Amino acid sequence: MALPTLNKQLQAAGISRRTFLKFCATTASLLALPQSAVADLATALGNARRPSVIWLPFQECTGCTEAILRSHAPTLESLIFDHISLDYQHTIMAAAGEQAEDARRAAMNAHKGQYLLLVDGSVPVGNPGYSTISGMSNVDMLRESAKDAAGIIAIGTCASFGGIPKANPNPTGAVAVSDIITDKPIVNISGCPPLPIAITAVLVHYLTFKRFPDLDELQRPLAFFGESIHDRCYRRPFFEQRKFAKSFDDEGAKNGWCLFELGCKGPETFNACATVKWNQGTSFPIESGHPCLGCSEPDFWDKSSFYQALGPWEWYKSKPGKGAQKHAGKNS
Amino acid sequence: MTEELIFMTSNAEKTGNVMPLLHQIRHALSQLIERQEQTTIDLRRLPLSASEEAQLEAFLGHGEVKADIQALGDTVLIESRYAGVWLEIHYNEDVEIMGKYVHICTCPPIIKSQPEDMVLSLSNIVSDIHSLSHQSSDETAKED
Ligand code: SF4
Ligand code: SF4
Repeated sequence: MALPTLNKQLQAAGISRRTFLKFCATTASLLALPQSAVADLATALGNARRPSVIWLPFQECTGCTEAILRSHAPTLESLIFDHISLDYQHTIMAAAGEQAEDARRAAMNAHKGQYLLLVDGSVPVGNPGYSTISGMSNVDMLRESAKDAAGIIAIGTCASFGGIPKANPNPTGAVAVSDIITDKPIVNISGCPPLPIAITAVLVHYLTFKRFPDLDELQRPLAFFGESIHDRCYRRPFFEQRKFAKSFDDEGAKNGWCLFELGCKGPETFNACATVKWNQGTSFPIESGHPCLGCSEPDFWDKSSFYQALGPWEWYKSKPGKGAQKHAGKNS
Repeated sequence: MTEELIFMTSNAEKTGNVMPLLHQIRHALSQLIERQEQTTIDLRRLPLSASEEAQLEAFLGHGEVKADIQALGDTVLIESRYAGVWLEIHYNEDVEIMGKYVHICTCPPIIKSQPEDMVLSLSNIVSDIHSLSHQSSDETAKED
């Protein structure tokens, strides 16, 4: 069953070409594509067929779903998301139980080898009964749904690395999607929650180029995870000058100095918060005076106190750049 | 505005990227004049503090043209006080900035009418004229 092209879909929804070009320009920017590529991106994306997507929410807090679906449609960043064929997402779909599972299997059959699988939440393997959907364990549902998928996007730190459910002592035996599925292209879009625009951009890349974008060694898209928070932090000059806030209300904090000594994990955290930002694009946690918690990294919950400095300043000062060059240009 | 003035703001957060960026804009403008080569600088890809972004915008200032485009949120296009240097800001419907660019060109592409939209316009105008002519012939019939 061939789904319509995005051009047709957008036209039917009354979305102008100019709006679509605006979307392509901002997405190209996010994917670190040159602005000269916008016209080609618009042509290829417009002619792409609307993809079928099956979204499995497993052991999660629904924060990732909230982050993605929070905006009232249609917004620019959700433009593609509003026009995919979301054939299954049991948190938000009207159908429930066997009816919902029938819809999932029908979409899998109709788009065999072509549908994308989105997963948020970790998978409990300690006792599969800890999390089930319609009587089926998460691990069984993941294996069944992944079998004929074209690729998998693991949304959030839980699906990417196990996340908070995996924190010590990991009572449910939580694992990441990539611990179970090893024979499919997987992109991890980590973060607690992840940046919604990163998910849209990965979908756009997939639809346009028929493959996922270049990934780092943790299978995260380099365009969003190629640089650390520290690499792009506007407080960086203070780090270099060794000017630190020592408490949340001292002179240093008031002057906007570096939060390294207050436990900032920015130097070891790869994510795009410093450039994409949160809260209607106005700020990210460091801009509000709070250190980065390192939420997009594996085991961030167990590493150390959120308010304990990473280590001696001298070491981080002399550490070679951990930016894009560090990562192998892996591509699934 | 002089270099001195740009750095006169009180905010201490600086990456030092404003001056190199201004030189890049100057270079791109000379390329536009000499070779008709257009350049787009994606400000999102550059580390700039909020105060530096404000300095850059203050330096560029406003020229003769300002355009508002409504396309799933506003897009604001401003020709700076330097002809050929444009600032383009894309907002979404939550007035969140989705993209910010400096275009060095004669006319930024987004302002042009798009062929696909014009095709749709043609069919709309045909049907609107058709309705109008029906309406006027109905009115004439009533008058008679
Ligand atoms: S340590 Fe944190 S606050 Fe300081 S410069 Fe790095 S990311 Fe910014
Ligand atoms: S600033 Fe750090 S802790 Fe906060 S969302 Fe970004 S990566 Fe996560």
